[in-house]
Amino acid sequence: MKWDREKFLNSIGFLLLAACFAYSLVKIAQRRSAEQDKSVTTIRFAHWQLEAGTKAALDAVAAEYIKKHPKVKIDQILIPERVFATWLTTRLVGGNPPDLVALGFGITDDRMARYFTPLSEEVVKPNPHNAGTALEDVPWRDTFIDGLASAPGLFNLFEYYGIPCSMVTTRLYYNAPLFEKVTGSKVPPATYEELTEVFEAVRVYNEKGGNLVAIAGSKYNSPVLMNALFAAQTQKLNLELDRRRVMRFAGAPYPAFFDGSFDLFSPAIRSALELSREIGKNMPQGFLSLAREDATFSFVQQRSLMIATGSWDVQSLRQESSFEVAAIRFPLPSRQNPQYGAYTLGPGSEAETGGAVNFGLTRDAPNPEAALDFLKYLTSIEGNRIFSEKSNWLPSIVSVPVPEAIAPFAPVSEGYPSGFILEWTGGPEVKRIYENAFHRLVRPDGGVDQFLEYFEPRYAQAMVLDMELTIKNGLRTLSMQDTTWIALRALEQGGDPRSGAKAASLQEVQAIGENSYYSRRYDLDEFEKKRKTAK
Amino acid sequence: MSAKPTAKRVKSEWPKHLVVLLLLGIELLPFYMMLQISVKNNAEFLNHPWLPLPPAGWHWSNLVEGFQLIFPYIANTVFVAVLGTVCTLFLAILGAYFFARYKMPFSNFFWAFFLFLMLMPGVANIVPLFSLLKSMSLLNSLWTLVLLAVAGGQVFNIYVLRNFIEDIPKDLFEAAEMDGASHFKQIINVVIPMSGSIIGTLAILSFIGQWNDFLMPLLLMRDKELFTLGVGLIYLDGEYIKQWGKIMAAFLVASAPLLIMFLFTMKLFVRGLGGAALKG
Amino acid sequence: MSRPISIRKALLEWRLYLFIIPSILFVGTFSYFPAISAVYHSFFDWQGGDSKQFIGLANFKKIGGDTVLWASFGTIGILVVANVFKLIPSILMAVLIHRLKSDKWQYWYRVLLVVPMIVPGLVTLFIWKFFFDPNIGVLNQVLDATGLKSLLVMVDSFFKWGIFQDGMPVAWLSDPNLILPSLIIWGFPWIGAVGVLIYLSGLQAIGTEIYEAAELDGAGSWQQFLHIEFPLIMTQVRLSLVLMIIGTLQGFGLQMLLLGTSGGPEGRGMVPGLWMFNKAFVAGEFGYACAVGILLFVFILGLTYLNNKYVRVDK
Repeated sequence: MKWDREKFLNSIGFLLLAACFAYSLVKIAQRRSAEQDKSVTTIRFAHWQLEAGTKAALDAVAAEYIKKHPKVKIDQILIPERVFATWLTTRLVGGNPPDLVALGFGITDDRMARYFTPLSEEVVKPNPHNAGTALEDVPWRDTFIDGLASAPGLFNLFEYYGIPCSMVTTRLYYNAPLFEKVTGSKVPPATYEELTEVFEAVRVYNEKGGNLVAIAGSKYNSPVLMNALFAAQTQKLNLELDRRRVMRFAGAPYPAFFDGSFDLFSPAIRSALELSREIGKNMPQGFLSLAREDATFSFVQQRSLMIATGSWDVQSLRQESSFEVAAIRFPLPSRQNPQYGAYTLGPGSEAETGGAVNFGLTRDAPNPEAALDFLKYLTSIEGNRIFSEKSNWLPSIVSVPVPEAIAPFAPVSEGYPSGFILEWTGGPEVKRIYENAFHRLVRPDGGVDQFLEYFEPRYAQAMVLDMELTIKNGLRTLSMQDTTWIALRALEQGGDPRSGAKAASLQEVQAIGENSYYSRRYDLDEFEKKRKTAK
Repeated sequence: MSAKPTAKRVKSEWPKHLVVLLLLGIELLPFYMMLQISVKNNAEFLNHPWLPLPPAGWHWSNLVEGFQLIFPYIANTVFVAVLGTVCTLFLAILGAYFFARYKMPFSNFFWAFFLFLMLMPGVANIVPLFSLLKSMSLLNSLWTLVLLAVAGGQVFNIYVLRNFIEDIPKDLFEAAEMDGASHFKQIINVVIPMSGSIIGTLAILSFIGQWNDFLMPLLLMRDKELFTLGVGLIYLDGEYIKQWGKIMAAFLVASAPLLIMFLFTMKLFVRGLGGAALKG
Repeated sequence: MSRPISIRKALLEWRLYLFIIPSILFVGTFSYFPAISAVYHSFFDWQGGDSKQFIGLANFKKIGGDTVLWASFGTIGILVVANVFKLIPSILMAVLIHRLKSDKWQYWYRVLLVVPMIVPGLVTLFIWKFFFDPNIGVLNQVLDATGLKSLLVMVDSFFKWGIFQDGMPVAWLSDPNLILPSLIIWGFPWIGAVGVLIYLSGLQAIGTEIYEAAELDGAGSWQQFLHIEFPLIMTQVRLSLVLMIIGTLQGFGLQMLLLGTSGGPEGRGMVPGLWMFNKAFVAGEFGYACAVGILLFVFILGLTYLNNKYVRVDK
């Protein structure tokens, strides 16, 4: 009898399994038949924006697009940040990438050159989806708020590889009701002096039995605030060191550093570091060990009063918080500030805010024309409006209204040029030593001197290494375009004059690029020579 | 048999029970947590993290949403696991039969071919394997996972099965042969009934192995519809603001098929692991 | 043993070869070919696509200067030692269950033991990740509730680590110094169901007379363990040890899922296997990754060989 029961139970188990298997077969067969339908074009695009609202917004844009183009199916592939680089590498190398990919994780210059199609020819044509609007005849590039000036690939490869569908700014969010309770006022701080008063109010509140942290900190969030303040302190220094007269320090640090005019011990830098340290005191202890989710959790659970993060978090924070969440621009030290005022010019301008969520078109895309058309729709006035409204992200297209909910986040162009951020003056090596030094800055027993003691001796070497890396990668990436040039010339000889024109412009672009890298090489060699003779 | 204690020992049974229960309790803690969190929402969890809610307040919707989160992946995983296990064992039984039945010429060479793989760490293989699959156009397909499962499972299963088949009395085989049975029929009539339990155990081990695999699916699959359970769980983990209740519910759903299978085949499993594994 | 066969009969039985050919094909294609391909490609600058450039030993030279790789070997060494200690609870559990009088209890304990194994390993891993969460994780709550946290804070201020501080949740997976301890603590109480069951079946071979004889000789329970039980399960223990060492040395799934492909903050959790994975599938340097893989392969093979040669157990 026992044998029967056991057998009986076993058989039920296997039957269940067989049933599940049959079901899964059915599902897979269904999927297959859907895919085989040749009349339907499938466009796939991939990104990592898991914040609340983005997926739904993109789905909404896709739905609108499909209404106009019924024979199209649009697939949104969301891969978490952690594994995005791995997933993307395997897809690119494996030759079966989606049509559109958000450029960011896992993307280097040479990957862009190798695996993505340059869109430079497309961006100078008007966007067909803007027909009937004021932007009807405007080249696609100029319909963007920043004119695609920050498109990935533009700076190093001189081609447009990515098209942004949004923009981002950073702000200081705060818990409105709790703020009123702690400070007794509804008015948020406008300057750093007022922020200091808020810190004082929090301290008093804690003495009376509260357990509140002024600003939620983490490895991710703290730099957002600290960098903004640092940049404010280096505004004057930035203009002094600006060799290329672009008011933006990008690319400029190397020349200034290599000709010796950039001094790490200058008072502006010291002041900026001191400011970072002071802010760090108002963040939780050990904040460098915390992750982004921990800071968000702390804010949402009302354990901290403010949090610094970007416009991408508006929806998420509002959804998760049971209280009203407001946001202000970072309170910067005013010029009258006795300690920090001397180095600052005033509120920074956000005119150089670049695009975000840049989508690139892969070379191995199964349906490049359809994908490009969808991308154009997403970045047309209509498509971008739908996206912006549904996701509460900033639009990237001129004349698209900014939704009410993120009005505080709209980039403010009035202001002075921002300063630079020490961490970003070089490349990965500089970042690495900066991170290691940073502990020494914000530790209870640390300070600016400890920071500089560690950082300064390593800085020169790090800059040299990063410059070498930039030059090497840049030249390698440029050389990858040689194959394209040869192919274009071959096509020209085969009788296609357009290819000849493309080849000529590519050659020009390569020449400019090579020139810039060789001049950097020259600067670097001169610097090395000077160092060796100085020793 | 367990050690028979003398009269003096009877009293000291309790400490052993206590220690065992304590250790088992800690070991099972994660699953207890999974169960009781899956029906709470975030706020309730923060207020009482340890104790389960009374059944009236359970959020059944969590389970529904968790199910929806994870179910597509389960369908794929069932497909790969079942097919993979069936094919692996099919080929492994054939292979083990080859080795066990007769000492055919080159048999030693083939055996060494397999045995070497047991010792060889496979870590270096992942990279070229990816490239190989790409050139065979096998990327982004569930069938690839099945093929890899079969390839990966051969060595261990053949090794274990060979020992078992060799222990089957030769007369049974000879009797079948005299009745005119082909080798294949011999397998069906002799090998499978005799080795039923070990085959069952190996099947379960293989199934569980496939269920847990995440590395190759992560590398191979482009489309979300093809993700298996492992990748699906990684995906859940990457969520920015986590609703732990729903996530725990998804974990529960992810474990459910195995748990159900275990409930039904429990004896087979416990017995099989205990006795059969010894031979290895 | 399989019965020997004459050549003539073997030729008649040629169909048997068909039984083994599919397996050989599978194994050859998916296991041997990649291995050979790995050796081949480790001499190339290969980005994974069709183009590759022969660079000879350059990859291996680069390995020599790769500090991250060598640091990862250090990490894995520590993990292996920790895992050796983590084998002990399974043995302990097996002995305890074995010594119980009641068969029924034994059976039910074995069932309970197998339950954690049934739950998919990934689920267990992610639940543990949840345990490690600084804010709502179980681990921190236990530390706070039992007062262990205050103890740790005291020890910390004595040694000046700066890791455990009052009012600050312990960031198990974000603090560089806590990464290794987290990797070691994971899976507490480290009882592996398969291991326990294997040991149990080994222990079952011990006859009761031996116990009685030991009792008569006045041996206490610890001595009984040392002289009776442990030697008899020695082969299984040794097998577990070898499998564990090989598994730990080449494993990286745990680290990847808990910490991400860069090995966590400051890369403290980087292990050789993960570095190889990272170099191939994140940085796209397939050729270099092959070289690292070969190095790892040789290393593990060497260790296994040494282990088989010198660690012999006589029954």
